[in-house]
Amino acid sequence: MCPESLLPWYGRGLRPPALVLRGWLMLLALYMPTPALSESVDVVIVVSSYSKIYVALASRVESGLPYSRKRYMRTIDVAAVDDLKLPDVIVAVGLKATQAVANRFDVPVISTLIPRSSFEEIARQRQGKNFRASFSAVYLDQPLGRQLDLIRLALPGRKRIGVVFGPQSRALSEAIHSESRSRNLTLQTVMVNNEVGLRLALEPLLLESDVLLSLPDPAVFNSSTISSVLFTSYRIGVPVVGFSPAYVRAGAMVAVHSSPEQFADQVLDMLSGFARESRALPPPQYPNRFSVIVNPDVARALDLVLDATVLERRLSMMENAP
Amino acid sequence: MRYNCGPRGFAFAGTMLIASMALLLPREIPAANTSGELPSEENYFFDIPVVLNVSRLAQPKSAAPAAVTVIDREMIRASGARKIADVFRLVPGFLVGYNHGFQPVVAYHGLSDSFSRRMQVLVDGRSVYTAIIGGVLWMSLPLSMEDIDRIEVIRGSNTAAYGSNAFMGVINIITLHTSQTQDTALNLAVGDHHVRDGFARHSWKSDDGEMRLSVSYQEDDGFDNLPDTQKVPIAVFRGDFRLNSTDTLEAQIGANNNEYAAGHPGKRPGHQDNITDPPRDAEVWSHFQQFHWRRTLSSSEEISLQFYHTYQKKDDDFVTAPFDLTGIGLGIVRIPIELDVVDERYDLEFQHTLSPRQDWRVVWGAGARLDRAWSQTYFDTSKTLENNVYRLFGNVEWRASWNAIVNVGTMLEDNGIGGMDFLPRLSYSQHLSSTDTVRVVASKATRSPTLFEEKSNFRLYFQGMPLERESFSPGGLTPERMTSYELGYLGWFFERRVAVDVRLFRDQIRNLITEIEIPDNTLDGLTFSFRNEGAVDLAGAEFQLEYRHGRNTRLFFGYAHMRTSARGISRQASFTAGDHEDSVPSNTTSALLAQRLLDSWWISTAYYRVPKLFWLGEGDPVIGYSRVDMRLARQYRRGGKNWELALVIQNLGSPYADFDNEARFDRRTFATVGLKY
Repeated sequence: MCPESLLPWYGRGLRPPALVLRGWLMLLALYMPTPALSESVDVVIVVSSYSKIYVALASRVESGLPYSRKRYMRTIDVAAVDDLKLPDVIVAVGLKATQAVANRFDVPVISTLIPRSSFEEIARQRQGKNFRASFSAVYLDQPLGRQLDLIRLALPGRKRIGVVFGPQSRALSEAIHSESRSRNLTLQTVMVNNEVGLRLALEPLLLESDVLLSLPDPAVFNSSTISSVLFTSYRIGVPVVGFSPAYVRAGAMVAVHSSPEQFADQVLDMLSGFARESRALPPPQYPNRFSVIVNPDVARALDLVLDATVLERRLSMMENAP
Repeated sequence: MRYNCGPRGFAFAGTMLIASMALLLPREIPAANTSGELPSEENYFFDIPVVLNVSRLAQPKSAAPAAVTVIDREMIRASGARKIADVFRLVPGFLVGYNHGFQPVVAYHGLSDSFSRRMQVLVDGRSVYTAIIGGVLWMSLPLSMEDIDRIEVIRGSNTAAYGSNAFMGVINIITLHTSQTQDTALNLAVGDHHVRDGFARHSWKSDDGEMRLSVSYQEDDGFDNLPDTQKVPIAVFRGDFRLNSTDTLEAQIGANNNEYAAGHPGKRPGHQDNITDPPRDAEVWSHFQQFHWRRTLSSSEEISLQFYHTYQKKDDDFVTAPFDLTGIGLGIVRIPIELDVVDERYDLEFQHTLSPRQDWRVVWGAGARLDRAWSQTYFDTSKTLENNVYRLFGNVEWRASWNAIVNVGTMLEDNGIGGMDFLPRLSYSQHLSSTDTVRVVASKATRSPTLFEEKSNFRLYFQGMPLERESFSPGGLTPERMTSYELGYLGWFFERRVAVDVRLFRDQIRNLITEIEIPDNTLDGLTFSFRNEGAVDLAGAEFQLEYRHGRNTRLFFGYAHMRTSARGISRQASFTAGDHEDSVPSNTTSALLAQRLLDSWWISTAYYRVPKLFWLGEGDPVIGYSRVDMRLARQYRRGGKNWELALVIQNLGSPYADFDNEARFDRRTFATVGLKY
């Protein structure tokens, strides 16, 4: 009965006990059949390193590709790029992998696990070299609209959203202002350059906000500042919207995020389109598969009850609505 | 509150699944890249240690099995209080009195003399009441007010969680976590009555933790007609370290050296001769070391181990005024008296927080405490007295349905002086709606006798000859017992801008430990002692209202109404049943209003009113007083630093006495300058 039993079977890839209903449903999402390619396409996956996240994504993509006699090893890391024999399409996982292949090989590239702003910068560099081949991506960032919709669903009536912009995230300022306006939400924003600026600006911002939306930026949200952000916002009673499972586990109340497997499935979707058409990839896109994670202890301590499955379902419905 | 445990069932499973996916996160990813390079996925996937774990997350007030008043930093600042004890004037049902400038008494529901011994007082989980007399030396706490995050006052007996000293209630002072004070702060205060305060705090970080050192100094010359000047330097170090992804260690070391002038200048009507209380200098040196290790086993399970050591040494030696001992052939002599005391405590406690089934949260633990005390004069021995207390506690919170919560808790305590006690508490909370909760609580509490009550042998000698026996305890005291019932209501109104807390209570105290006077043939004809006699019934209502309007307005209002009846107190007792009843005021009123003006100005005012009451022990009858304090502050940013200038005026009205008629509090004014960067 005790859910600690989830851990052992997950690692072995076995099916879970039927007792744990929601876990089972989520597991179904992970084990759903992956989109298949009808034609045999030579794909190479370049990962930024053999760390677990990249490997998980790469193996899922591999498992969705039909067997190819051309390739023995489909997944290589950045170091092996020098010896690469050009495939039909490269899937680049992570910033380093993208940088290693995008400006070097004029072949179609799907980049994933890469923030949108970095992808666009690399795309600019690639165009500068007059590479003609298609360059697309599944961005790492969740669309701002989805995050704002999550806030509207999880915290109805709370209209003041606090955002701290750092040097890397401030590029999103205009976009988030317009997305908030169209949803009738008010943004309270502050721009900081480093940890000291964050410390001085955080409390006044929180006192004016109903919720704090975190936008990834290492100058603002890193493993040492997050402690302070979570303590302060909890003390003031302002829930934090995080951007990763670790962040929610640490104390953010809710987050919407996509797992490596969900990214992989979307890459396979994009590849299935490629096989049928003439080497053109669909345009870069935000992740379309996502999960909502909730920290029920924090929600409860803030006198809120949030149901992750319900939020996820309603968020999907909102996005699919015409 | 302690009772914080994991989530329910399916949500828990989902969270566990997601948490297990966190295992996929590469541990070897280096720290997120900083600006200058392109943003990378590392900004999303770095590992974060759990910050808001089960023990840090408070149970929401609506689920807590007790009435809690929370005084946060903003309220402490707005109140203008310079001394920690004064902050408690705000809490409904609380009394604060000053015997002299350096020793306030903080009591809940009266029944107190200059040491309130029926309350547990903790600083970061460390108990600070003294073993000998059971009270708290508020001005000797190694604690700076600037480091306090909030104070949680549990109104109502809490022995089921905190042990037998938590008879009437618990005060829990919580200091800021080091990650909340990653700054350098300076503060100065200057005012009349020779107020000269300073505070400096500096923080720094290492790869695995944060640390801070706070140094403060407080000085003032107390009440006008009393020699009670006081100088208090304090230093406290705190470090919070991440040992690995699951373990943290909190370490604190602090010291306080309170130098004060004690005594009364002349004879006072209605008091004993001040022979044994002449003007003199005295000092209390106290220090502590505290370590708290926590391991997060999952998002809803945690174990912790806490160890602390506290030490207090009072140096109070003097020679009395000339005393006429010709009657016993010694002539007129000055008698040297030593009131030195050493009070020491070692405590070790283990706690486990978990959620073994859905809808259940469990906290349980065990602890051992060793109290050591020495006082040649109070115990007539050079030996150190020791008392061991062992405890086993547990609380189960059961969410019986979406709107009903049952809390069953108990403490099993084996106290060397009081014996073994079983202290249960049962509470039931029902949410009538998302904004109204009703709570019913029943509990049993005991208060073990203090070392002084049980073993006192307070004798005065002159040149080796026994002169006087002030107090003698034959021993064999049994603990006071209390049965309490409480009906509480919590409600939010006006879109949660207004919070209302109402508590109706009925406490039945039996087997009271009462001070008695035994006539004998000592110098003054009597000796004090202690005996179990007396019963007190307390009933009343406490009301608390809080209003917040954004960042600009904050109002706190507290009111308590109390009725007491006492009986079974013999004629030998120092104080009659009527005196005991008079020691509980019929009501207390407090209010705090803080308003922000023009963006950077803050004006706040506090009001306290206490009607007549009678302090047992050394106090005088208090005729009732009211006090209004005001504070005006300006905050601004200049040169990357946050500045605050403030002016505080305490007691705009006429002088009053809240404990001793000689200690009349007139108007105090002081200005503060604060800086943070």
